[in-house]
Amino acid sequence: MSEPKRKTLKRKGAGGRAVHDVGGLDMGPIERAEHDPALWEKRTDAMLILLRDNKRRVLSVDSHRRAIEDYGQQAYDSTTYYEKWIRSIRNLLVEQEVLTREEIEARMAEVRARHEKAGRTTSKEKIPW
Amino acid sequence: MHDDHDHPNVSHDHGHHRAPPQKDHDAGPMGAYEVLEEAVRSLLIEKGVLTAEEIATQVDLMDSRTPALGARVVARAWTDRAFKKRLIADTRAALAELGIDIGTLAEFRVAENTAEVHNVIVCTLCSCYPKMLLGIPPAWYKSLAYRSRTVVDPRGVLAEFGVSIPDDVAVRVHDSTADLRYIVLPMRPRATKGWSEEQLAAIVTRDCMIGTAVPRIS
Amino acid sequence: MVKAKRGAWSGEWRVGRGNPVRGPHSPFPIPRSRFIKGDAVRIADRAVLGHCRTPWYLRGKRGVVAAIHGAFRNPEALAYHKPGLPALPLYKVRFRQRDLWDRYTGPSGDELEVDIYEHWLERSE
Repeated sequence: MSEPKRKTLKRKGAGGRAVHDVGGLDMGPIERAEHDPALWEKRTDAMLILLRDNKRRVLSVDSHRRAIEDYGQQAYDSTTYYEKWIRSIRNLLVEQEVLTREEIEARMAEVRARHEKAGRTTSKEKIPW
Repeated sequence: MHDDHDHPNVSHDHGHHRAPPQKDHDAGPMGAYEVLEEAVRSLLIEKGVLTAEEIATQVDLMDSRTPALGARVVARAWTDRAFKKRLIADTRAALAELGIDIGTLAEFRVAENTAEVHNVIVCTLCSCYPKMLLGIPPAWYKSLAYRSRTVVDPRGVLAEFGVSIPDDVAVRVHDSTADLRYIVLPMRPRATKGWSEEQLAAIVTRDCMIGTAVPRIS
Repeated sequence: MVKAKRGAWSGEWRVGRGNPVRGPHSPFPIPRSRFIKGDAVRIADRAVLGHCRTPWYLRGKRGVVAAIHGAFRNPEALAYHKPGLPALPLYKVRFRQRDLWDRYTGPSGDELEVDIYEHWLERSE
């Protein structure tokens, strides 16, 4: 489901190369295993496209990339592709004052409670702001 | 050594109708990011920013974009020289001829493989990919390993994919840093003379259009 | 909501036959560009504040303009919800791999092409 988590090359601050800017480094063998994305990942993809369309323009692919680039190496290397995406969408929605932090955190608690009640365990991991 | 078949990412059970919502309950514990997605989606729907219908339609749209679509385009370019010229000159318009609308997110360009040049596509800065034609990219395309190494050691990366390009053929890497998305137009194998478009499309895999494979006749 | 403004030129807003709708990443026609196909260019080598689409590995390197794609909104401004106008010419720049990497072991004909915005290019003598 996620990319395997492993030690990755420390590279932040090497004279100005940003964390996401990895062209030319050697970050190991290419893992070829493929998997279909989960429904939540497809919906994340969908929401990004809708939020940047002409009707809404709440965010752009550029602000989305920038939000991801701002995570810091540890978060950048240890999260999967769509985990990065949904966190960026969350951050930009707050930045653009479409949603508030409080609303999101309250809703997350409700979502967890509902799934737990239906018999599914949910992670209590906090996603840093 | 490399995949010969791609499984299109489609909602296969329901033909042209939208599949009922997939239940994630069998998928084990719910991760924090999945919780976040549900929270954000439900709030956006409540506030009228998005509707559930729009989200479902967009999911279906992306499901309908698969490498098979790209393979059709390649097969047409192989059999129709005038179309191939138009495809290279104005990719968006040529795709529109085939009923493929790539939307306004990006422009497309074709990198044509020849006897002198083999093209490979990468996005070192994130994972830009011609999604509106080929669907979502494979995990390896988005990986730090592929993004970091392809620009500096393309032949080594190709070797990992089981592809060996002779020294007298230049390997040309395209790093998609802006709003252009690249598709490799592979070379048509000589032994396919007389094949139908359908037969030709069947040997054009996703990786052929990224540049990490070449069409093979089994 | 960002609405694109018409520039000083009476532009053709339809780029390519298949594109009647414009989005934030649709190309603009170019009234003029600093470089043309075939020009020798050098990628600027300067500190970056914020979002940047010129990769680290290209800074200070020399290449040739292979094509001009049109003019596009500046991603460095779009990243912060700004309109990113005036649109900047976007170039396809071609490099010889041996000019980019000390340790490149492939044949001398191997190349790399990258799409670079005009403000990151300098004339190279």
